[in-house]
Parts: sequence; C-alpha cells; structure tokens
Amino acid sequence: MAILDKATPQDLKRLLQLFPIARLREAWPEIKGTKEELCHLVASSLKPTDIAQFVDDSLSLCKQHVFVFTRDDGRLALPASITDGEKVREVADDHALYITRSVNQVVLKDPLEETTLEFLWPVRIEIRGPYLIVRFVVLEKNLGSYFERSYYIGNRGIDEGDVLEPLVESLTLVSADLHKGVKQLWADGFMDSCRTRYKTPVSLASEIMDEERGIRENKPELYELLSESQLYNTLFFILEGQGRSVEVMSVDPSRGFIAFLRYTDDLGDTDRVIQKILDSN
Amino acid sequence: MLFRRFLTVIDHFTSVDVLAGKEKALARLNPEKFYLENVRSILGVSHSIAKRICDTAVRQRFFSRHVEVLCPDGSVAASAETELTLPEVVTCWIEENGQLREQKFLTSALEKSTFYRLNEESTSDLYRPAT
Repeated sequence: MAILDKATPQDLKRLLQLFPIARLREAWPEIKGTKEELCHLVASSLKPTDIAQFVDDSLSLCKQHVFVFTRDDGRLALPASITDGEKVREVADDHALYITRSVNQVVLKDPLEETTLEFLWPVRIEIRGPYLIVRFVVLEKNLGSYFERSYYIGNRGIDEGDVLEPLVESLTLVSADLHKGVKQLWADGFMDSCRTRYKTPVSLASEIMDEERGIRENKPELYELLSESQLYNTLFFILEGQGRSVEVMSVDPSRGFIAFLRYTDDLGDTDRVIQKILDSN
Repeated sequence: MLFRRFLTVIDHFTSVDVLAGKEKALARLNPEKFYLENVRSILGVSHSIAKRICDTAVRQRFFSRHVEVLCPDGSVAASAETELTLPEVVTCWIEENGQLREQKFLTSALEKSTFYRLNEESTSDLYRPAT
C-alpha cells in the first residue's frame, strides 16, 4: 500500500473530499466542522488501511464512470496493479480497490506560476459472473476551488483511457454490449430516457425532450423505433421508487459504459442498478 | 377536435382560401405547443404576417403565449407563461468529450423562445364541426 503510505495529509484530504459530506459525518460522527476540516482531521489521524476501507465501502455513493467488459473464454481475473497505481484492498478474489495518481499541471496567473495539483484517484475492479467491471470515481473538473487566483490547466494527467487500455490488452477484455439489459429495464418501466443518440439506417440521429420529459411516456412511436435501434450515449431517469437514491444515469450500451451522474444517498444503490442491468442482459 | 378549432382560429384571421389544402400540415401541429414558424410555413406567409396573426389571436385570447428557456445546446430547460415566472436558475446537461454533466445557469443568461398554445375555452365558440 505504498501509494497511501507515502501520501501526504493533503493528498488524503483531497481523496476524502471526493465523498459526500453526509457519508463522512456518518463515518466520523464525533468530528464536527466543515467538510474541509473534517477531511483534514481524518486524513492526519487515520491509518492507510482504514482510509482504503472507507473509500472501498463508500465508492458506490460517488459520481462514477463504469465500464463493463467480458472475455471470450470467460476466464477473468483481477489485475495485480493499474497504470501509475496499485491495489490497496482486496476483498475475496472478485473485488479489489486500486488507487492511482492523477497529476494536473496548472498555470496560475497574476503573477505567472507553474504548479501541480495531485489527486489520489480510486478505481474499483469487480468480477460479477461473466463480467469484469471497472468503476472510476469521477474527479471534479473544475479546479477553481483549489486556487485563489485565476488559472489554466496545462495537462490533466492520466485519464480513464490510460487505465483501461493496458487492462484490455493484458486481460484480453472486450466491451460488454448492454443493449439487452438496458432495453429490458426501459420496457419494464424502471426508467425512461429524455435524451438519446441512436443509429438509423442512413444517419446518426438524436432526440432531446423538452423539460426532461420521458420518451417512452410522451413519444411512443419514437420509443418503438429506439427499442429496435442501436443506442449511443443515452440519458435515463430512474423512475420514482425504482432505483432508491439513484436518480439519473447515462448509458452507452455498445461500449459497456454506465455513468452515475449524481451522488447517491444510500450505500449500494448504484451496485444494485448495475446488477439489475447485468441480470437482464 | 383541437385541430379543427385551431384551423378555425387561423381561418378567422386569414383570407378564405389561405387554408385550402393545408389540412394535412395543420393536422401535424400540436395545439398544445406550436411556434410562429409552424404557423408561417403552413400558411406560406411572411414572418411579419404570421406574427401579426399570432399576436391578434393572443390579444383575442384564442392563443396563449408562453416562453421557454433554452440550454446552451438548444434544449428546453423550463417553460412558463411569462419570463418573470420562469425559474431563476435552471439545470442543463452539458456534453463534453462524450460525457454528460449537469450545470446550473441563471435563466437571465440563457436564450428564450416563444411558443403558443391554443386556448381551448376561448376557441370553443369558434368551433365549427367538420362538414
């Protein structure tokens, strides 16, 4: 766990700040103060193993980018490490937490000054039946809150592609096609879409509904067409009561990609939505 | 029923022949929400004449005028009867490098678009059943 052992309190504080304040307060109810104060205190007092466990237990609450893969021969295994990172926690042989380091080059203005802003970036890899799932916590793109001066970003450091590419190559993975599962949940009334991009025989078409109305409910003729079409990035609203605290997600079914675009309130809700898609796939 | 009412309202403000042969196009209009350009293209008139027709229909309460606020990609975030009754802040989906994210905008900073709605009550007197 060298990456966490060597991390500065500042690195650990930024890592903890990726999580919702409600979860932080639930984990450390005795610590009062703002989110920043709480994260600072926890970062300077907790052991790396405890931080790794908190991150692993709480990851399902975060905004996430999820990539689902399969392998032709079905022989899936967790990787020993990931790009610029390492395994920091393994739970049985079907789930592990990895941490990598995202180093952003930043140029501050007035006066001009070069600096870096580093984040410890959690990635969870799971094996669920015939699927290998890579889950990235979405890092905040707006870095303005870290500086008191105007700035621009020179280089954002490693991205999801840099982590995925070697995994796909070394583990001979292929993206899972999620069309069947997603369309089944749509048909079952688990969710409806207000924004989609889809293929017609002669064009790439898209539909954005006014005021986030659902296509299935308001444009049944288009829904019929979509239920037989190849979909690209499609935004779904989970209908009330169906996904518990998961309100919205986007899915690019051909790429095996699911994005949870908002924080959720309850542990495990995003896990259940992923499982529901896979169960119907 | 609503389509017939719509046709009757338009007919009320135009010369007798202007709607001839336009039934099919009119039938595609949604009386709950249509834009000036829909009326202009169906009637084959200029923008200013179509605007005059719509303004008169609003004044006489056959149509009601509404406003919608548009996200940077042109999608409709919210609508209301007047700009003053639109929410102060709206949330839009922004697509960057193929990824969607939510962003809040002040309504005052975004473009608005006007649309019309057929006023069912006011047009019931004008309604002529099809012969």
